[in-house]
Amino acid sequence: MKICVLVKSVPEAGVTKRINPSTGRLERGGETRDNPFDTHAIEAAMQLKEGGELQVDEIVAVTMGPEAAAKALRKAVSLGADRSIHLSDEALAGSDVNGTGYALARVLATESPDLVLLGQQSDDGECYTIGAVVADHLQMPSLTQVIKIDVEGGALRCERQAEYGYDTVSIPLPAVISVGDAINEPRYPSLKAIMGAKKKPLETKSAADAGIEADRVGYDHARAHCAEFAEPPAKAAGQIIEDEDTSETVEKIVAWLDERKLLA
Amino acid sequence: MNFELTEDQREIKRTARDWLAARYPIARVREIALDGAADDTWDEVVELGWPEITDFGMVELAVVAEELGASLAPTPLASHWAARLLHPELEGRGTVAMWDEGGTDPAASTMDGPAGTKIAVPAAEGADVFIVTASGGRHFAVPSSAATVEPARALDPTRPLSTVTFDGAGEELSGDHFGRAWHAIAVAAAAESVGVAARVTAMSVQYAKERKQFDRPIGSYQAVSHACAQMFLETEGARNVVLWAAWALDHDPDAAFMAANSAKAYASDAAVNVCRSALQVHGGIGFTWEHDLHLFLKRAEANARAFGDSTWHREQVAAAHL
Repeated sequence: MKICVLVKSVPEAGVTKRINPSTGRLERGGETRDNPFDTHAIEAAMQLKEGGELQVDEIVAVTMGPEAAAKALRKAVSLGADRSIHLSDEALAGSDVNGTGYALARVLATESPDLVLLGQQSDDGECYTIGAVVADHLQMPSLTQVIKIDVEGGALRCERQAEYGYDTVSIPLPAVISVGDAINEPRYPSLKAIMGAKKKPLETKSAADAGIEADRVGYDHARAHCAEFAEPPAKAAGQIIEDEDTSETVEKIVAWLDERKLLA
Repeated sequence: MNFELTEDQREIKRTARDWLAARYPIARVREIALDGAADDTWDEVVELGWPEITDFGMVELAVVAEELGASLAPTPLASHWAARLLHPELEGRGTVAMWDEGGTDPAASTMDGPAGTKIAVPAAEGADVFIVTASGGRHFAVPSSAATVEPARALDPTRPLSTVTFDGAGEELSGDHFGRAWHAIAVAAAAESVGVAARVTAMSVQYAKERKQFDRPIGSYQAVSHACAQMFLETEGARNVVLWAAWALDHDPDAAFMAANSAKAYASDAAVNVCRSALQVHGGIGFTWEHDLHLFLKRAEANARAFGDSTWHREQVAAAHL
């Protein structure tokens, strides 16, 4: 079977997120790195392959973005993916979730994967929805925020994080699954794997190569446009309790917590 | 000259930073260094391939060494690198036994072969092979079965030292050990010092932004902001000369001598200067046992003296050019 893993290049964690007011798009300049949530998806794929309960023949990393986005692919192959596909085309710039999900699904369709894995969110856009959009286009069942995957016959038995507790769901293959960061501890790439990443096959595809219809992608065809922006409201000043008498201080803290129903 | 790291080098650096942050948060460093907890990460280090980084390139080694310094990781990796640079065919974990009664000059060993006592041997416990310096610039590979290790007092608690007595067994190594290998060892130590300086500068700037006196962050006062700027200047200067030296060792052998000595001299002083300034920026809290600054200062001081102090390295340059 074949597992495709969607990965993304995102700004370094220390970079302050900012929306460019003239374009209405998130600025993604500066130093970038692989989306941390995606490394959990790659690790999940590797564990399925190494676990031996499924015959995983190939793990393929897929991304969409400008030339610099290929960095996420090199990280993916250094972590164990066998090859990678880079969907890159100026016509795709500014695509919203709908356009991005459609475009990625077109690429994935040419691969006919048995399983698509991705991180539950990206560290920049944080939309959480790309997996569901991709699944809809591929007509595959989808699970989000999965934190445990077990092989059960030819299907997968997954635990997904719900608002209260966990749901246990059995899902047939092929499927699209987005994973949370609690699912595993990703491995670190070895020195040889980092240095050897460039030697693994990397295929670059244009929108036309993937059969993407031009009027469904790009900024002009996005279904969502951001219009107005505002700074988040400033946080209210906190309350400082001076510790003059410890017993009294504890009482004040307990009363403060109790007032807000924060004590069980 | 292009000082930008390649993408692979940046990824190696990022991996090192992430891994060290996960395995050696400062609380864990304290447990190992001050409370005697066991450091059990060597197998993982081997899986990452870092012990053999000497085979890949000096810039690659330097970027990992900088992260080692920044994290204060109490791993034996640095002493293993020194051993491997002297003995590239080394198998298992190695360390170096350089100093004896001959003093700190690396070429002044009084041992006539692999028999005798060496002081200040780093990471001796658990080492498989000791690379022992003898008189005349000779080096011997000595198995741990021929060594008796006695723990010694060390300035830097994150890097234990031992006194080691060798019984005479060992194989002499060929090669010019005080040429490239020695320069590479010095550059690796200098890169660690850069990491110490960078981390301490960041800690100090952060503290200067948060700590208030007279209702203003202390960083708004020139006496503090100028100190922080000087720390940054010395850190960046040290980083640049270290990267130049690391690059020269692999690509410009004619410049490597000057570059390596300059790097070790400048980075040694820079890290110590930065830590001392940090103590002033942090004020009273920086002098306490509970604060982490003393651990960085001790690493900076110990590193400054390892593999030739700044005076010794400047003397080498002076002797070659005057």
